[in-house]
Amino acid sequence: MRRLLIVLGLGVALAATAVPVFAHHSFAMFDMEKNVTYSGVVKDWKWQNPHVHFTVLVKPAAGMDPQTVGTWDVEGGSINIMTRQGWTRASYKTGDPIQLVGHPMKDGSKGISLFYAIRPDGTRLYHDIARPKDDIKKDGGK
Amino acid sequence: MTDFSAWLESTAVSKSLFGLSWLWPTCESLHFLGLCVLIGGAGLLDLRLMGFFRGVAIRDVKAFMPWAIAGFFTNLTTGVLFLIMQPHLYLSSVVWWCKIAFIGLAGLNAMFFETRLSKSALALAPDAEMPRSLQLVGALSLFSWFAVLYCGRMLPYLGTGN
Amino acid sequence: MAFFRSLQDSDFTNWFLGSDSIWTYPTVLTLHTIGMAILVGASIVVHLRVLEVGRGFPIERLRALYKFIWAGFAINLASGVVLFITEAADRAVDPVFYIKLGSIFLALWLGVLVKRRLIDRADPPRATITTSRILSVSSLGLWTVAIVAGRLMAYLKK
Repeated sequence: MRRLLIVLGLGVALAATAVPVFAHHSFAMFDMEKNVTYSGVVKDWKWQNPHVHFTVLVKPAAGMDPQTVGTWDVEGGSINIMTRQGWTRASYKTGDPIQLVGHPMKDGSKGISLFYAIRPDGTRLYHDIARPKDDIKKDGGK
Repeated sequence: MTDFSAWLESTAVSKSLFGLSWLWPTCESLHFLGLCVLIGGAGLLDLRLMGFFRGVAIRDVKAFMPWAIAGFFTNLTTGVLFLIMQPHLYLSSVVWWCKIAFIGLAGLNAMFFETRLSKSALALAPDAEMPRSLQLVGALSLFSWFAVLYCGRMLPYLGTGN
Repeated sequence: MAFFRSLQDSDFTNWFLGSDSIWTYPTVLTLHTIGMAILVGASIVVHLRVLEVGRGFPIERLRALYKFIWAGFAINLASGVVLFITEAADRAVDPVFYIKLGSIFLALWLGVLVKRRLIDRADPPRATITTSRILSVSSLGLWTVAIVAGRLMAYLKK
């Protein structure tokens, strides 16, 4: 009986410790309402599942939106889905210039959910499915 | 479909739901819990119909079905919420439509069992051999639910989902 | 720590996560979900019966469900090790990962206790039935914690 109570106590304690951890890590997500354009240089390129990640360094410059300045962690989709949109492992590499549109984190931390990248010739590489009509509405036609 | 998705995502309902940071991850956890109790409860009945657990009356196995059904409705609800929040991840995805088709298959199969075979199944002696029709219904059900699981989990890789 | 870092930065990890085949990461992840459905699904049925759902179902027949529990666990141990290797360093310092593993271990252990005390016993005394119900409730709670923790891990990736 005593052993049982000890086991039970452990179980409950374990479950209880889960709560503050869950609460601490807020589900701070990306602000999907915002489409922001970032122009910078690829610092780190991770072509991998489950999410393609790359880091972009945006330097201050004349005409550059100061809110976009900094080092950003950009999250894309799976290799499989992005490949279907035209991405390849060689699409970008460290040192390449990049222009992208994405949704920044709500809490102001430097994370971006990728919407699409803009190639030098103007074509778009979407993260999941091509939605030109959708983003034109949000940008107000920009 | 893209137009419809874009419209749905522009609605106040979609935006306010997706704007709640905690809702999407909570729905995911509920969806996973729901599938466990659905596959557990329905799987038990399916295995019985296939001939396992011989000696146990079908009535006593069906007693777990209300829980499986609760799991199904949990997943239907969370599924609809996912669809309202991010329709573009699903409506343009062949894999998602396959998932819906398999859910439909499982549902039709279950309805067929309930309306046509249930009475005779319940009348069987607990240690009787299962007739072929019941074995097929059980096997199809088990297969369908795992196919639903497969399609759902593969969405971010085969489909356009997140 | 260096060991975990070497796993996460290994050639295997780079190949496995960088592969565009659905037979690598997506398949292992799906196997993990299938294993979960079998492991937790069977466990839920066992504990529901202990809690008097489907009272006509003979308790001793629940033993057969433990085959599914261990089969599901084996699938998830194998797939889980593979997934762990690819993020070993990040997971090694992630408290949610330890909560998940701890919950799984405890939930399984309680399931084994229930089997030994109740399911494997010919004529269990009243007190055993009562304590087994408490163990079953706890086990169900722990499986819930394990699943929530597992889902949360996807959001806490480095």
